[in-house]
Amino acid sequence: MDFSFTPEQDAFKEKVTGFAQAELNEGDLKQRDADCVLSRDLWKKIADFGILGLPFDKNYGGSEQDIITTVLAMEALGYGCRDNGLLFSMNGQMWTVQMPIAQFGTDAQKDKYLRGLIKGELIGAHGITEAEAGSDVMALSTTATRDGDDYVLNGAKVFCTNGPVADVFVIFATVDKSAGSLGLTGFVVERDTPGLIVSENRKKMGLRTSPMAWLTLEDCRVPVSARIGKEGQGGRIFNNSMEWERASILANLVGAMEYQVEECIRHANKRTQFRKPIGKFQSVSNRIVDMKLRHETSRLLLYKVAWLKKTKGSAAMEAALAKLYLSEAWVASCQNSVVIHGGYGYMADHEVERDFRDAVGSLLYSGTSDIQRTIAARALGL
Amino acid sequence: MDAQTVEQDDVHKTIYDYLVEHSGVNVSGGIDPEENLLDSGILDSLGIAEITEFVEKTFDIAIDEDEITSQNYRTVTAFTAFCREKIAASAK
Repeated sequence: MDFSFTPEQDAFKEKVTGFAQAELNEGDLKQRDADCVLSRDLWKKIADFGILGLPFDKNYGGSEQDIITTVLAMEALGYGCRDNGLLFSMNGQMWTVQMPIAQFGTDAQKDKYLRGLIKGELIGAHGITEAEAGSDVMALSTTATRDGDDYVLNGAKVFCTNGPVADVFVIFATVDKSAGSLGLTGFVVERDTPGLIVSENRKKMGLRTSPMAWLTLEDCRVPVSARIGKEGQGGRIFNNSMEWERASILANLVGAMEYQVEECIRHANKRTQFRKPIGKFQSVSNRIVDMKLRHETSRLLLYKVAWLKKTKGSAAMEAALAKLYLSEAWVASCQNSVVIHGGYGYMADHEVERDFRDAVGSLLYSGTSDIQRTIAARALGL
Repeated sequence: MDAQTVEQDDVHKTIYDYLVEHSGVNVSGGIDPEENLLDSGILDSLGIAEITEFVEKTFDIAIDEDEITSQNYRTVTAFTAFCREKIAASAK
């Protein structure tokens, strides 16, 4: 067994860390968080550095890195960049917009959308979840009715990350309700398409720099050429996206946890009470050791998923277990961090408080903890 | 009953028994061969992946992802026929 990476992978991770620390913490994050604004400047920097194209075809501006290198880069971003919402939006686009187009789209769709998305000239959003189709997302009710050379989409979507600022949407609808999940079909829908109505930014507890919209589709007519893959392939497209997204978003969290442990150690060594650093009290040091243990175990689970995806192609149960464990570890780590920082950690002008708010979303996005347990239980034969 | 018929009945019985045991919904009254498995919840998205893996192992066949369609998976009858075709093709 070998836990090491190649010298090239280590060097690349270090380079991404340096980039994130130097370039992605510019501007007033507190103000962006308060205003619920995505930084287009930082988005462009991420694109210019090549992050948005990491695992994608060189012909469309990508660099064709493998999943392990991609995960290491995401971990480095989580460590170096304090804007969790920015990274959340980035992952949303890469795995649920770019990846479906890259893997199942036509050359014309890749030319028209993938290239611009990777360059940072377009922003993409993903619409699948509905008011009555959350964890049971395959039961969605948005319909796509074939009409000559078009499809007519009708329905409503919720929790559409990047929606308020997106230029292009990947939207899932059913072409045949009686076919269950095998009726799901994906479509690329441009923002100015008549019948696509995008709500204003919906306010959230955390991840506020990642805008979110509700979508309404009212006789929204798209050409057959907007379909991604074949009719009925939507479930497969979505599941593939989720495996990539779970691995990559989790990598951000692992990096963020590492930064948080280091920050708590700095604070515990600096902050003095009863004439000694608070880190000398076992109640504090034990808490930080628990944070470190969660970080290390999280990293192992993450790397295993990446390795399985690379070598076996699929890792449904392992990705579910990793998503479940890492998101809950990230919330626990943030809670520990608040307690270690005392009253200051509770104050709104401190990033510890923002991290905690951001972390709660991880229990819900990319599949709730409950649905991850359901997936794992089914895989175990229960 | 010739050997081929016995084999075909085994395919049907194996699939039927699997579905009754692993159905996502209560099927204590049995499953009609023409019942829509996809619409009724007997085969949800996880169930489709699971039964695909099951028949691949049980019948030593390989199912391409492009073959996982509503036409092939809609009913016990359709899925049995699809598996029989795959078994016959792999035996050649």
